[in-house]
Amino acid sequence: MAQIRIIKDRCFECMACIDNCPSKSIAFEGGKFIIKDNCNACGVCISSCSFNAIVFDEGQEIIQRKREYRGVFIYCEHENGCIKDVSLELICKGREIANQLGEELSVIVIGHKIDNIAIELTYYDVNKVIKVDNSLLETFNEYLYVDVLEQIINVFNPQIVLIGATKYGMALAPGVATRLKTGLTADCTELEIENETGLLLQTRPAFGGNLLARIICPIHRPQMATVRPGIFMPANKEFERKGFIEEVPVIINKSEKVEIVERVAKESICSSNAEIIIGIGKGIGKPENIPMVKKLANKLGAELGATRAVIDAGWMDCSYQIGQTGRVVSPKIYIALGISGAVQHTAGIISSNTIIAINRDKDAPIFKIASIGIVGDVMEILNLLLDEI
Amino acid sequence: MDIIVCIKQVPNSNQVKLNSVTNVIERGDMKGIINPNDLFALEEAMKIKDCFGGTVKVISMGVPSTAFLLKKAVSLGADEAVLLSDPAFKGSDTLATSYILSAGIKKMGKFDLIICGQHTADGGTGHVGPGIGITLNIPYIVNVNHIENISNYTIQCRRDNDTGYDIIKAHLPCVISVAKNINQPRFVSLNGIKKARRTQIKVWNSEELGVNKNLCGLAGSPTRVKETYTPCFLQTCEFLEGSPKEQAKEIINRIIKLKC
Ligand SMILES: Cc1cc2nc3c(=O)[nH]c(=O)nc-3n(C[C@H](O)[C@H](O)[C@H](O)COP(=O)(O)OP(=O)(O)OC[C@H]3O[C@@H](n4cnc5c(N)ncnc54)[C@H](O)[C@@H]3O)c2cc1C
Ligand SMILES: Nc1ncnc2c1ncn2[C@@H]1O[C@H](COP(=O)(O)O)[C@@H](O)[C@H]1O
Repeated sequence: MAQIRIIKDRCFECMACIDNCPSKSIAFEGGKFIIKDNCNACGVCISSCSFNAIVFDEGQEIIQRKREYRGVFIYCEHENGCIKDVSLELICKGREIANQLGEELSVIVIGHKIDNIAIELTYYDVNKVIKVDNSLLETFNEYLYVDVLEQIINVFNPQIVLIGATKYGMALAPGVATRLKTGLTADCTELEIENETGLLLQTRPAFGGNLLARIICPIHRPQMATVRPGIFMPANKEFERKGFIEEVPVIINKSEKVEIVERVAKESICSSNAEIIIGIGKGIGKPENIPMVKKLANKLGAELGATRAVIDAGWMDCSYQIGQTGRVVSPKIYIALGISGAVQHTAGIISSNTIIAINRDKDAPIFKIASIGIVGDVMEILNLLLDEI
Repeated sequence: MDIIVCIKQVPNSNQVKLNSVTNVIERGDMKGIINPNDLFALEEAMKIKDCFGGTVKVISMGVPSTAFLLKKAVSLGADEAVLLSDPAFKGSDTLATSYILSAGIKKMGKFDLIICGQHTADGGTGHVGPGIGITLNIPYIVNVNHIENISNYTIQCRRDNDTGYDIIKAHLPCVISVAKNINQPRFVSLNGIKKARRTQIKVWNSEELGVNKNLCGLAGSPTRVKETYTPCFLQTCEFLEGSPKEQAKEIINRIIKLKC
């Protein structure tokens, strides 16, 4: 367990640490600070010190152990022989982070008959592709995949592991992190390396996007995060192969405990991969106006979404809902038609590249996050738009 | 079928207050509600009990006032409720929370199924269901939006993936995290309220649980909230000028430009 150390030269003896310590383990006696045995290194004193005078005194053992963890590892998700976009985005971001740390970038790919995917991955700017190919791993099964990923991580001891915050990624990552007894930050929208410490700063929205939290994992390794799709730029293919493929032997026990009985692909009503999404708000006036919006969507090759007010009114099916309690989307362009811009809704669209809003109320909150706005009647503009295309 | 449902207290609104020193959410003076997703978890458990009999117990880790919400869970039909509460649990991240809840679940006795909500409305990670599964060394399934079949030994569920859905079968005991809207939660009944009045909420602290305090609370949490901030949107909206017709034209121009 890490201990706390007070750097004398920086300390102004303000006693804020003593006041804030939840376990009352800091005392000031005879002009000296004493850290008592009941200190559990919770770190509250560190954040309470205005003078940066308190640090984790990690001890040789932890510093040594941390040094043994090296490299940035990306978990590559794939489907029907295609690499998922989010994995390419992670390769791009991972490369940036690895360069900053002066370490290597590796990609892990798990599945069955994945030679082509592994080869394709070597054409990206990665140092190594780690492959585990086994017929038991043909379909995603968290019970087996957690085991395999844990074993891989234990072979290579990376210091950072990034996984796409897809449905499967969110099923896999917490299992692995719990096995490794390390920290995991969910659904990050920003990642950077802190200059002074080399720690991974992981930013994620909380409370429906009303608040952003920056999370660190100071002592445990690896530092793990799932990352929201569509936030970072995808990596570009290089002309020549850069990485090499390494197959790692892992033990896979055929287990009857969890079995995927069937995988069914269904037509997605509104996949989050759309380039343009048109959001329908209560301001379109009546459900009879929706076909007009559909017409515009068809012309633009866009998909539809809606606010909860629209769903609650029964104008559209609940699968269209975007926002805190609906889907999160990140298209190139989000067109908000008659949407007021409540935080619960904007939580779901905030990572769109460009938001275009049409609302007759110049002060509507949607204009605070939109980059292009029209103040006017939405149906009038809609009619004109249809004429223009 | 003996089922345990995990319930968390979350703030009533999205207006949050943070301790400026620890950056930990101040839950003390906030009137909480049952995490909305956990009501689906409870209802799903009740539905299974209605068919097969057995018990539904609820468990929560939280501040003492959470007992009030556990009473509500009893009035909704739960048979028993346990609150894990101890100052040492304060500041737990999902790893520490999973550890503490697992210890509580073990102490509660035999169970066949644990049901969690998919994620909480405040922190919202969806980590705790899998965390409990791994800690107790039993299978977990997340994102369940339909239970197709359940027997004494297995459960078969439907869960969404990004492009469709999986039908997945697991041995019991196991943990499932249920997606929102998997069912329509029932209302509190008069009998339920009477029962809740009679029911004593058990409260266990760290000693009674026999947990290692170094694995609880902030001390047992690998992650730290370094800082929190409200997102600032520097973007200033550019309002398009001219007649509606000109504006419409301009939008089309922009869309074409932005698309490539
Ligand atoms: C716990 C919780 C969770 C929630 N989750 C979500 C969620 O996930 N997603 C979500 O969307 N909402 C959610 N909400 C609801 C959210 O707070 C808002 O009520 C909702 O987003 C408002 O939808 P709206 O903008 O369509 O409607 P309104 O707020 O009614 O806004 C209509 C807008 O249209 C404009 N307008 C009206 N007529 C015209 C016209 N003729 N021409 C141009 N503009 C016009 C008005 O000026 C107004 O700004 C949630 C609420 C809560 C409490
Ligand atoms: N402190 C807690 N007490 C009881 N159950 C919890 C607690 N935290 C999380 N859970 C359960 O785990 C689910 C997922 O929570 P989270 O991982 O925080 O998003 C919730 O819906 C609850 O069912």
